[in-house]
Formats: sequence, structure tokens, C-alpha cells
Amino acid sequence: MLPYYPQPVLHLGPLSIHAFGALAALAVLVGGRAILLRAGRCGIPAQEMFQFCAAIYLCALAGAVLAKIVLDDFPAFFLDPVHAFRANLGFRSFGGIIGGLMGGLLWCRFRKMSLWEALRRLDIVVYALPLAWMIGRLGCTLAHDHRGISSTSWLAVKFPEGPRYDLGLIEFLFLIAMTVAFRLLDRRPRPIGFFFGLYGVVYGGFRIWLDTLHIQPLRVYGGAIGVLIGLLGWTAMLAFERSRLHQVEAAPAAG
Amino acid sequence: MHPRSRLIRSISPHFALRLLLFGAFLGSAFAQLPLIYNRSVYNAASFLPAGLPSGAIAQGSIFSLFGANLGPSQTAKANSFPLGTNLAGVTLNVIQGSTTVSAIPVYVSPSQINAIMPSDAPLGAAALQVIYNNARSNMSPVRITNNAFGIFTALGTGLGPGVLQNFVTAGNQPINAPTISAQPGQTITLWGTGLGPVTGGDNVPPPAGNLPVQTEVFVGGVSAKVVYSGRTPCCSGTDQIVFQVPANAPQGCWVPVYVRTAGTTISNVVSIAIASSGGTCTNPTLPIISSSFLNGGKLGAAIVARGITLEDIGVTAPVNVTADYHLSFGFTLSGATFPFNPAITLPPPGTCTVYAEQGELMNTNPLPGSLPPPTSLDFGPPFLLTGPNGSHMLNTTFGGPVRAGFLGGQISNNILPDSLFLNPGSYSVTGFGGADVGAFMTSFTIPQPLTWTNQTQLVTVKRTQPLTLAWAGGSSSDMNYIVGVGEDLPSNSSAVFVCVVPPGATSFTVPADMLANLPATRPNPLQSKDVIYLITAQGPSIQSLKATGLDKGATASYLINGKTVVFQ
Amino acid sequence: MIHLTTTTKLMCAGIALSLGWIVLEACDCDETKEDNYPGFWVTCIGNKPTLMTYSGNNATVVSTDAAGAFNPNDWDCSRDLSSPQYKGSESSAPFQTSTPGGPSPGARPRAAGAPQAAYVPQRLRDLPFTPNVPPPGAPPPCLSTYPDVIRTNHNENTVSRVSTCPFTAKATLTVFANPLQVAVTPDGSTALVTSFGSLDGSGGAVTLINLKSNQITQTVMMPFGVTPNGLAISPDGTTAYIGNFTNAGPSILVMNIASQMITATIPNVVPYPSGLTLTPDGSQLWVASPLGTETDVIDTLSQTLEFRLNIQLATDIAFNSTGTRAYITSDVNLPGQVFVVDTATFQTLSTYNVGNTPADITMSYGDQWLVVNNSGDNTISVIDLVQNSVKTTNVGGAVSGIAFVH
Repeated sequence: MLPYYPQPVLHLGPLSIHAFGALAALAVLVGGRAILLRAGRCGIPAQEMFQFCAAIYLCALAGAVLAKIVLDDFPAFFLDPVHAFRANLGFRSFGGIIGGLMGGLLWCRFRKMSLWEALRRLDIVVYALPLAWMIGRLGCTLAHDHRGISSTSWLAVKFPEGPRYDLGLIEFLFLIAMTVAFRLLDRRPRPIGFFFGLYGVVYGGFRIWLDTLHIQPLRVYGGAIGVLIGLLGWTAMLAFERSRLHQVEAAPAAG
Repeated sequence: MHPRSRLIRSISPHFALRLLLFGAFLGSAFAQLPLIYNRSVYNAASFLPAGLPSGAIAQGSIFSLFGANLGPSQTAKANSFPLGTNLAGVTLNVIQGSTTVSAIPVYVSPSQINAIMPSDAPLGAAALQVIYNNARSNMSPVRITNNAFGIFTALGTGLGPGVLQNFVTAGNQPINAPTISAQPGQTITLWGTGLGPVTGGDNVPPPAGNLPVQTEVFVGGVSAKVVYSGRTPCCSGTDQIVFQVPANAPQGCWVPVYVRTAGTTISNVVSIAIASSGGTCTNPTLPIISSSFLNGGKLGAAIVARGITLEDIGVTAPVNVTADYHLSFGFTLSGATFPFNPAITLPPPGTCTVYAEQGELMNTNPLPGSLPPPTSLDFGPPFLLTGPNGSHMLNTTFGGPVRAGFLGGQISNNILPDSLFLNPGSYSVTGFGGADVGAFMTSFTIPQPLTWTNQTQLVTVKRTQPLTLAWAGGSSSDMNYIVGVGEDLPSNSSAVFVCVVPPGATSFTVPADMLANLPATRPNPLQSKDVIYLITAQGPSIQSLKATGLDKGATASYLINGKTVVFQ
Repeated sequence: MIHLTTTTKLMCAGIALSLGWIVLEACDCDETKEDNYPGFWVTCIGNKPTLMTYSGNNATVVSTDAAGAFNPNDWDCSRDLSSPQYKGSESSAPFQTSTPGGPSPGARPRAAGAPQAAYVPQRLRDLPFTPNVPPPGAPPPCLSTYPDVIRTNHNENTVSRVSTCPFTAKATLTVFANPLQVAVTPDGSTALVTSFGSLDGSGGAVTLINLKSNQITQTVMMPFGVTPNGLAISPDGTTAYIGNFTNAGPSILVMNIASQMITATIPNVVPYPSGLTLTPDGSQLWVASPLGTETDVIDTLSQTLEFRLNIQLATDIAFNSTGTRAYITSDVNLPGQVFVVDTATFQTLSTYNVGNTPADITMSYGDQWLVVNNSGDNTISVIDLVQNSVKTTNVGGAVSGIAFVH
């Protein structure tokens, strides 16, 4: 079993910096840099890609916060939204993903980009997502806020109240594998939308399984929606690939 | 004109102002009435609750009472003679029927008043009332007696090290402490209040001289030679008793000391440090723990206990209640000038002490301890205990500064089936390591238990006579303790005596003085909780526990035999 | 050199601000989880700060954390029912030393509940070490030791003595008109019954019944205009306190039971005194009035009013075994409530919601259960003081009078 450590906190006078917040911010910076580098290699101007990412980030942030306020206790929110806002301020990652996705799509719509261009950019963002997410999940691991069911397996953590799974840790380990896998898969050219769909299907499926280890009642809808979005992405990818192949076949005939 | 504005115009500003002021006064009067909290009048030194036999207030003694709005926000003290009956607007009446006398306040504050009970206060049940700036408090009952001595304590709680001065020279009389021990034969000055009334008034400096009440001092249960017992000339209401430490008094860091007046009334029990050469004491009971408590250190323990209590008072049929427990703790202890903790600072073998408090000892009111509080050490996940009945994770189910939980139980008469775990045999304890203490594994044995031979004969315990317990079996290396608890629920008062049995003994007699301050059992036994325990730290189970991060560690198994009784 | 557009700059600023907020504020632990008590968290249950932990896979309520640092008084549930606010803890008692120059003025009584004070867990101090016993499945068999119940039959002008196991009437006696309350001396020898008397208010009586012979030994007529209702007997069985149920000169009459003489009258109490209850030590008489605007506390030694509580329309009072808590039923709100009062400071600590028009209240031995009759909606409320929960059950008919069989 793995030892338990309280979340590291750095005290600077009146300020307290928790590991979670620091790692979340680091995740954003590392992920952003990775995205801009990849965008540059794909020929997309840095500033344009930055604005696209910023839209995703800011909408993801709003989505994560909103999801926590609304979904943590929907009846309470329905009855008293102001009170719910005060009481439930925090993040919910599922809301972040949805918010970010919608932000990205809206930005592309605003810039009058085609679906193909939008998917191309989303693909770049999603490629870097496992790396950034992994850093963020390390923060969750140290905050110990994703308690799993009791267990004495080698992967369990010795929580103060007894050994159990730490779901943040399990997801962190999974994301390491996913980051490495993405790197390996990137050695060959992949169709636009490949990584977008792959992330949705694989990560969504993983989350469905992980929710079965959650100490609170199952919340598989986040994972299921992830899988659905991934499948949609792959559908779009296949459609674009087919269209491209038709164009390639038609070109020699025209020439 | 609108009817409402007609009404408003008809009320003159002066009248409105007067109405406002009257309302404010009325409101403030009701809001600011002095309030004496229920059951909050105590001897200023002993804090013995009124529900205990010695909990009365002696004539001429200093008492404390607590409440709200009792006096000015800026505290006031009486600084010069003659003392008055009015201090910063505060007066106190002691009322019995048509008789009213005034107590002498010497310290007043919003929440506490210290005052001198007049030497001519009426004896028996009386009512106390505080008047502050003409606002009268509620009446609070008080029991007044001729003598009821309380010894001042270093921690100001009525428990623990007493305010005792070692006489070296007239100009050198340090307060006794574990690092400033007294020697056998040394003269000690003890401070307290409650030796009884004086003639000549309580508002002027009292004359020196022995007071007429018979006064005895006992050190570790040995009678001491009293050289002086009377007022201290400096201060009204304050008594001094000068005695010599008996040559054969037991030595240790917390040797019990108490005063008996008029042959019957027992004071609170405090402690004194005695060492043959003076200086720093050593404690013969739990020497390793005591040493860490005095000098600081990191201590840890993994303890299991079985409690077997025969309950035959207040039940329709006698029943045996057996329960197995575990508890473990790790502390960083740092030294203090007057270290004290009822669970650790035990008296020397062959002696007894008594603790009393307002509250229910056996429920949620622990005895106060000393400063500074220890810092808990992180052992990591719960330990694993393995024995003849299998393995058990020692999960915490009780909470508190120690990790403790329930291991199994049984209640006779088929009330609860047997799920006991700690049967005699070989055991091992495994710790997995935490932030402060490393992993460890240690083994120990729970031996066959001793037998309390006169347990079933203990039904009614007369508090005016010594109490003898006898047992057989067990191991020669066992450490035995006798603990008796008396709780009176209606008055919310508790007292407990703790005796340390000399090694190797198979019987022990608890002196009558140690029983004197236990409350008598009520006619309805459901209004009392009275029980006597024979507690054995089983010798073969006491093994060293070695782990990184600990200076000292041990395992131990305790057998706690109990019997409900009637204190008469 | 890249020229940054305004949009880019604004986005940069937004990202920078959000990252700053995340770094300084985000801990994913909120005030109630992990930060203060690793492995435990604080939530609000029934408006009370409650400590919880996981026992296996179940969130469970516990009384203290591993370090014994949890103090419910440090948390405030009044502003946000789902999220307790940390108030901070009170400072510990100062170190005081008595000096030869006189007593230590700052000395004060020991604070109960200091977590570092005793190193013995509370359950080990719960003597005699009783493990949890599950409730029996079947009702216990009747024993000859089961006590009888005495009840008044107001409309029939009678008093009945009833065996509780099995339930059968043993004796019925005719008493003075309109009997209201009954109390038994602690030695079980005598029952006293208050009778309001004629409805014109001319005066009532107190009847004494010998419980050995089940015979009326005396009917003590009250002075003209005194209409007895509330009744309490001192723990030593010598004195009865009788409430004069009226608005014109309400009072408490003090009667010596042996001589059956009224020895004192305590005037100016709350109008219509009805629920008279003595503290377990008999030092105070608490007076509830179902029609009054306050609840009175009387010192029995001086027979004077000690305090007036602002609890209106109070019907009955129960105490815990040590007399440190009073539980007062009140009909001032809907649903009815039980007020929990600290008897030392007379502060109301909390309330429990029960059924409509709560009437009688009684405490179980061991101070775990309170049972309340709710006469307004035919229910009984059982308050678990350990679990801090209330269960109200419809019993299908009007309920009046209650007693625990120990």
C-alpha cells in the first residue's frame, strides 16, 4: 500500500499556496505551451491558436465552476441560486470539458471557420490534454479529494481513516500511460480528429470504469458523454477522410 | 392630516426622549442583571463541588463564585486594609431566613468574584446574592460549615501540585516542584483556606496563631508533624500550615498530600515532590513515562485492555459486562514546571490520591490536565493485531487524542453473545509507519488473569472505614491499581480515588480518608454511578516497542475488573 | 516581433487573473475537508456542526477526530446550512499560580471537555464499559417488578392505578372535581393529585392517596380561589409544589406532605403555571405555562424567582440526570418545539422540531432519549440526543401523559 501525505502547503505570510492550485496553474501553462508548439508545426499562427486556446480555457473554467454550483445540489440551486453560488464554489472537471469544448466551437464559429478547421484545432488541443490533465490530477492526488472504496490492494493509499483507493492517483497513472501512448501514436501521420476521438473514447471509457470505484454513488454520465463526444469526433474524422480520399481520387482523373 | 402624522405630532420630543431612555434603561436592566451560574460557588483553593462531603464553604474562608454581569468590566482587587463589604459597586449578601450578613469581596470581575465568607456567617444551608450597582442577582444556594480546608494548587484547579514552599532559609523558600523536591524532614509551608473562623473581624489583618480546629497533614498517607496551622498575617482568609515531611514518607514526584480537619473533613488531595537529596525527583510509578513527562521526549504505546464488570446495583438481575478494547498513542511531550496529568502522574506505590470535579467523570467531563498539552505523533494507518483468535485491524472508533476502538464484547444472561478477542495467548502488533513514527513489529503475551477473591462480597462500602481488596493468581511482574469512582448525578459531582499497589502484593487496603469525599449513593441507585476497579497491567505483556521516531515505546495488556457498589 | 491584438491582451489578462486565483485560492479541500482534520470533515446536520469520516465505504458521524481537535463550537451552521463556517477556537485557560500573597484571582473552574486533558478515550470512561447491545427483537416478558402507572381521568373525576405489564386497571378512586396532575413521592408510598375544582374558579383541592392500600388518606382543600394544576414533589419526598392555575394572582403553593399544611406561597409567577418540574437535586423549580409569555425558574431554598426565561407557551420540562440541561416543550411555533437550555447560564442552546402542540416530555435513563407527546396532531416524537435526530410517529389517537418504565 502507498503512504498518505497531507497536501503540501506553502505559507507566505498571510497567503497559503496549496499544491493543488499550484499544479492546476502549472498544468495550464505546460499544456498551453505544448499546444502552441504543435500548432506552429501544423502551420497555424501562434496568436490565432492562443486566442482559440484562451477561449477554450476561459469557457472551461466557467463551465467547471458552473457545473459544481448547479450540479452539486441542483434542487438547492433551483430554489436559491445565489446561496448555491456562495456555498458550492469550486470545480467540476466534467463541466470543464463541456465548457471548453463549447468555447472552442463557438470561437471557431465566431471566426467563421469550417468544421474541418475547428476539428483540426481541437485535435491539436486534445493531443496536449493528457499531459496537462496529468499534472492537474497530480494536484487532486495530493489533495485527496477523490476517495475511492476501501481496499487493501497494493494500489490503495493509507488514508487516516483506513486504506482505500485514491481515484486521483489512479487517474494520474492512467494519464501518464495515455501521454506516452499519444507520443508513440504521433510518430505516424494521423487523420484530423484522430486524437480528438481517441481521447474521448479512451478517457471516457476509463472514467466510466473509475466511477465504479468511487465511494459516493456512481456518476457514469460524465464518462459516457466523453465516449459519445469521442465517437462523434471519429465520425467526423472518418467523414473528412472519406471526402479527402474522394478529392485525391478525382484529382488525377481531372489531370 | 393623515391620522398617523396626527399621532406623531401629538407626541412631544421630550416625552419621546423620556420614553426612549426608559425603554433603554428597562431593557438594559433586564439584560444586565447579575447572574450567578447554577452550582458555581466553590472553596477558592480546592474547587470541590458542593455535592461532595467537603464541598461546603467554611466560615472565614475565601470562596469563588462564577456567573455573568457580576461586576465591572475593569477588574478590581482589594488592595489595603481595612477591607470593605463593597468593592467597585459589588456587594454580596449571605441570607439564611431572616439573617443576612455581608461577605467581603476581594476580587471582582464580570464573570468571577472572590470573597471572604464572614466568620459569623450562619451555618448550614444559606443563599448567596450578588448586588452590583443596585442590581440584584438570583439567589444561589451555599452550604456553610465551620471548617472545610482547601489547598491552593500551582495550576489553580484544585488538583495536582500544591502550593507548597520548601523551607531552606527565611529568605529562601522556593515553591516545591519536580525539579525542586523536598527532602524527608524538611519543613514545608502549605497554603490554603478554610481552617475556620477568626475573632476580631475578617476585614483587618488576621492575628498569627494556631486556630482551634484540629488540623492534621498526611504525606503519602503518613501523618506529618504540624508546626503551625492558622491564618497568615498578611492576608485575610488565607491559611498557612507548616509541617515537616515525615522521614518515612514515600518519595516520588507526585506524593499525595492532604489535610484533615476536626478529625473528619478531608481537603482536596494535592501532590508534593520528595527526593532524598532534594533537587530533581524520580517517580517510582511508571518511571519511563514520568521521566518523559518531566524532561520531554517522544513516547508511544500500543495497549489492549479487557474490562469485566460485575453489575449488581440498580439492575433487576446481576450481569457481567465484558468488553475488549485497544488504544494506542504517540506523543511528543515537552517539560513543564508543574507537569500533571491524572492518567500519568500517579502516586508512589502504597499510596492513594483523590481527584474530584463538578461534572460527570464517567461521561464527557474529563479531569483537567497540565500544560503544555502534548503533540500527537503520526503512526500512519491503524496497527494490525494478531493473536489466537486471528487478526484485527485496530481501527479508531472512539476518537480523542488516542486511537482507540472496540474489539469485542459479551454480556451475560445471553444479552450479548461472545465476540471477545483478547483471550490469553501470544500476540503481535504491526505498525506500518507514518509521517512521524516508522514501521514496527513487536510481540507480547496476555497471561492468565488474576482472580479478585473478595469481589462478590463488595456490595456496601462504608466510607468511614478502610476498604480491603484481595486477589490471587496473576504474575509477579504485574502492576496493580485500585480505582474507585463515585458520581452523584443530581448534583453533577464526581470523585475518584486512585491507589497504586506495591509490587508483589496480593491485597491492598484503601484508607478511609480516600473514601471520605466520595458522594454517598442515593436511595435511587439510578441517580448514582459507583464502581470499584482492580486494574492490572499484566507483567508479561509489557514489552518494549521500538520504532524510529520514538524515544520510548511499549506494549501492554490491561485487565480491568470492576464491581458496582453502594457507597454509604 | 509579434504584435498582440487587443483581444489577445484581454485574454492574457483574464488567464493571468484566473491562474492567480487558482494558485492562491484553490485547494480542492474546502474548509470542511482534510485541512483541519485529516481523514474527517465537518458538515451541518440538523443545523449543527457534525464531524464525519468514512468507515469503510460509509460516511459516518463521529464525535471527535484522531487528534481530538474538533470542537463544534468552532463552527457555525446558522448562515449556511450546507457548509459550516469556521469561527476559530477559544483560547485555553491561562496558567495561574497561587502565591503566598493571597489567592489567585484568575483561578476559575476547570473547563469541561478539554481534549488534551485526559488520555483515556471517552468510551473507556463510560463505565461500566458497556458495548453496544442491539435492541431485542421481541418485547420482553412481563415481570412482577414492572411498576404501575397512576393516571387522572379528568372528565370522570377519578384516578386510576394501572399495571403496565400486562396493562390492566388495578384500582379507580373518585377524587375532587376535575383532577389534572398526579405525582408520587420518591419512596412510592403516596400519590398526590391536584384537582382544579369547580369551573367557576372557587377553588380546588389536593388529594393524598396511600399507595399501599389504594385508599384516599386526605383531601386538602385549597384556599378560596386557588385552583391547583401543576405539581412537583421534592427529591426527599417532604415537600410538594403546587401551581395555582390562574391569571389573577398566579402563585406556587409549598406544602409539607407529612403535615399536609401549606407552609409558603411564592407569588408573582408566570400566569397559569402548569408544568412544574424540579431539577434532579431539588434546588430549583422550573415553571412552564401553556398560556404564558415566559418560563420561570424558582430557587427552592429562598423560594424566590431566580430567572425568567423568554420561552413562551411552554407546557412541560424535563432535565438530564445531572440537571445541566433543561428540555422545554413549547407551542409558540408550528410545528412545536423543544428548547434545550443550559441550566447554568440559562442560555438556549438549540431547538428540536417535534409535532404540533407538544405537551408532555420525559427523559429516559441514561439521558439518550426524550419522548414528547404532541397533543395537536396525535403524534409522539422521540428525540435521540446522541444521534441528534427526531422521529415523529402518528399513534392514531389523542395522547396525554407519559412516563418511562426503568
